[in-house]
Amino acid sequence: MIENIAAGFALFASVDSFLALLAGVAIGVIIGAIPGMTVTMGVALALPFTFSMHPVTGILLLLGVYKGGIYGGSITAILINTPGTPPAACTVLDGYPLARRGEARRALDIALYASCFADFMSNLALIALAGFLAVFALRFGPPEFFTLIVFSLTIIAGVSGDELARGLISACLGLILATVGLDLIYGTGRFIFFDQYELMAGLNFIPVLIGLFALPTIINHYASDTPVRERVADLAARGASLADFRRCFPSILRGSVIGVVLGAIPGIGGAPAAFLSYSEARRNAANPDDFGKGEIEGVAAAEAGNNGVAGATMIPLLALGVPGDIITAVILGAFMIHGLRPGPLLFQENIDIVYAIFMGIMLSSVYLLVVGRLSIRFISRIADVPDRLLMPVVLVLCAFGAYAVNNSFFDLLVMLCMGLVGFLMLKTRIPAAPFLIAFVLGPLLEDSFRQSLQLSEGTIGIFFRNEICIAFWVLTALALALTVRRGLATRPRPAA
Amino acid sequence: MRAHGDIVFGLVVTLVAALMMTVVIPVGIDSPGEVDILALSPSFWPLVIMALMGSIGLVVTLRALLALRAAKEPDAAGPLPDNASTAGATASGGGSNARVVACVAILFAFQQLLEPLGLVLASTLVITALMLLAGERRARLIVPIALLVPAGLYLFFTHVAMVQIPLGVLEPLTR
Repeated sequence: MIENIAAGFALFASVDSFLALLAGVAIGVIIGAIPGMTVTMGVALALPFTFSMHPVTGILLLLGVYKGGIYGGSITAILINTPGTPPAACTVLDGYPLARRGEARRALDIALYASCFADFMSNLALIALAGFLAVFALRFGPPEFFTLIVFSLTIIAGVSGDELARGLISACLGLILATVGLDLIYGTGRFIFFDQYELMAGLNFIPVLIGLFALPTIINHYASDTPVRERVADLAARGASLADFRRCFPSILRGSVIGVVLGAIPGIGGAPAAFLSYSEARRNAANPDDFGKGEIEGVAAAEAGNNGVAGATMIPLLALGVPGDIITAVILGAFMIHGLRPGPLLFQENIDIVYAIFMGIMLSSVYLLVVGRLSIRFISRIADVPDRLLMPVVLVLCAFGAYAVNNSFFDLLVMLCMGLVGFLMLKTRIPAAPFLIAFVLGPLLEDSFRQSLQLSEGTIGIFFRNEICIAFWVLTALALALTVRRGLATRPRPAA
Repeated sequence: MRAHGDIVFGLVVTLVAALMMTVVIPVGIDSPGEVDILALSPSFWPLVIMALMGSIGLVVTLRALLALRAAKEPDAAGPLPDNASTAGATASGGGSNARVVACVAILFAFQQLLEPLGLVLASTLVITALMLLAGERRARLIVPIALLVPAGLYLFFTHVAMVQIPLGVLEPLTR
């Protein structure tokens, strides 16, 4: 074993690998921060550059882009209420209110620290638990996915604030919008009106995300008679303190674990992990009512859940050769281009490469901290730009980003329509976060439900087939009970 | 006041759900003639969602009616929304409503101009229009931002992100 580690170190310890990893993290942060530029796009763009590199160097470049991109989405989420990546939509909930209060630097700092810590934990989990978590993840079939997603949807209660009924309505709207497209089983069209063939593939997530979060903020700016942003120059420069980090540490640790567990399950992704971490942080907080109004712990929890996924998604890839999401699917392609086949054989025949990758992954957390600190120093100045100059620029950035997803004007129309919907939701006190969660999880929920019924030929007992399903049902019931109890405890008494 | 608003809101949600279940879903979803398991029908899941939404709408309405009955005088103002995209301000005067309408009109004009003018030129126009609408009058700020931001984004997406950005009427300039 010592010889293998030494061989891995010899492969890893090259200037090329160090520089490639650093460049990857920096590129990833920039890409993640740009709304509409997906991390998948960034990894796919970087892939051709790896052909001429040593396998370890090339894969570390891609991993750097991945890690940087996961964090980068939080930057624009905090500064301009425009999540750069889908999981960063959860960071918006408390990050943007903090920025409006002139505490952008503090929010960005805690997001960075939470990201780095969770990323480090995720890397440790990858190294130490790859085998165990991969075997656990393999036990997930359609019924297990269904019960997991049902449990995940209970987080809607956590992100609905005081408006639970409106949050549920928002979730229903997200679920129904997620059904647009071709039916999974019969292939027939659902809500494909006006012969818009683009609707056959369903609504693309990025234009919906940008429209729902960024555009209402822009439109609402014009709805204000008076300037709304309170700006105190001193506070704008105040970063997160050690006391802030200590206070947020339980949420960061919890979020990291949630991210690791969910990240190891193929197909789940960072968004559910971020929202679940946020919901749990709120449930355990001393002042849960502060969440959604600029609570630093909310930012920390969201980013911890989000970044906890990053290393864990590599677990099914490395241990089993099964990509956990589309990004790891691109990375799988990189492995194969370099003549490597992830899975059990990789650990037998190329264990030195595996160790080299592990070392690089650990270093990526350090690079993330360095690159993040540098980027915050410059990027946080965006918060000082007046809204009347910033909002039109943000709109155009969103338009370019929405177009870039599929080179389609239709996506721009979707973005604008969702912007209007988001603005109406804002004015009717319907929270947007449940909509987004339901839109993300809806397809997986329905597909796993229907696949389960196909397997069981219509019998619903399949949803209770093993201890995993039962455990998630129990967790769901507990979450609902806690929500109801909290709702009853905080309900205002009618005036006498 | 808020209770009245909730009653209207609840009724609207219930009506929308009913409309979806009775009209939009039957018209908008092609279902096979024979389905062995009802729950596998393409329209099953949307119907369940809308039934749930309609039920919640009814609950909101009933709760508001009960609150109205219980309270002597409903409160004039409710709590501010929790949604993080709230900018902390509420629209008040007719001037702000007119600006919102103008903003929405600009956005849809932008969408209509995209194909003929291209993304760059349309973006230049929309930045100028929105800045003027927001009250910015300094040409030394408007002109460079309106010109440089779309151009910079075009260069980034075209040459770095390898995304073809449509230029519309400016296309001959690139040949």
